[in-house]
Amino acid sequence: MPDIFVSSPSPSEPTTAVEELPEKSERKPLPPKAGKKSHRFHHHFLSLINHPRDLRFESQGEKEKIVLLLRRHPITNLPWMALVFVMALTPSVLNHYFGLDFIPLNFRLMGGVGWYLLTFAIGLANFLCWFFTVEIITDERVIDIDFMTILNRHVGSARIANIEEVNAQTGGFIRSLFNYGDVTIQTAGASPEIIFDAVPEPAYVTELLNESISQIKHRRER
Amino acid sequence: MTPFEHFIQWLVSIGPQAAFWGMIKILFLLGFFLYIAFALVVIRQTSLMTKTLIGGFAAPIKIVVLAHLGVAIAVFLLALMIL
Repeated sequence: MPDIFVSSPSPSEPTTAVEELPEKSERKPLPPKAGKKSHRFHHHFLSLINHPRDLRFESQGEKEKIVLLLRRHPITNLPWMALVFVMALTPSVLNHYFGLDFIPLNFRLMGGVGWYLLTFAIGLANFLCWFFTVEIITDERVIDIDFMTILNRHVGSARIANIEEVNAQTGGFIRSLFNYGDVTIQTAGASPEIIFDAVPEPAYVTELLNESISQIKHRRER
Repeated sequence: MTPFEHFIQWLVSIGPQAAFWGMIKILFLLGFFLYIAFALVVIRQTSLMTKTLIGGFAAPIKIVVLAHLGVAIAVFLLALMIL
């Protein structure tokens, strides 16, 4: 006897057998969604970043991958931060101890505004120089991007295959305490020496570079 | 009468105190004008920097330096008005 009333399967119901999900540890990690930031914003301000995902540099090759990005250790910013702090306090200290009442009010006001603008400019220029002065190690090259002042830029690079010697130097009380120092890279290329200035964990950087050099040598021998 | 003689005559006519603050006002305006030039240089250099190192931080930094230029212009106009 034919069925008179059979409800049609609802579109939301699965029509195929449900596969059992694997255990959480067995699942493959999902690739980062396109356009979505895989790193938190504050990660950009670190001075040692391993495999930065959403960072690129000007002359980066299509298949070239950044292995390590380095900046000067944050403690090296202390001198200009102290200067900015002292400059920010100066007007109130001057007013308190010397009294600036002999200056007309409008000039006092604009003098204060000008002073704080100058203070901000010093802070901004120093921050930008620190932030954009980076040392990059890729799977092919080392790149040294140097903004000595806000007006001067120097970019040097060397192929890892051309590196002859890597030295790390950590000297002095502050450098030993905060574990930062200079990494000097001797190369056979056009620029004979690349210096990573005041970078954190210089021993780790040296080890990583030496590992990359030996990997490239192994590949060549094969 | 040369322009310089006109200027001296004007200084004498307004009195030494007003002349002194007049000079200070000119120095202030010059300083704030140079600051606008500096803010423009910072914008240009920041653009160069964000092309050298490319990442998600470019937009906030550009906003900060553009706001900096805006403040520099506003301060210059304020100085023109109240000094």
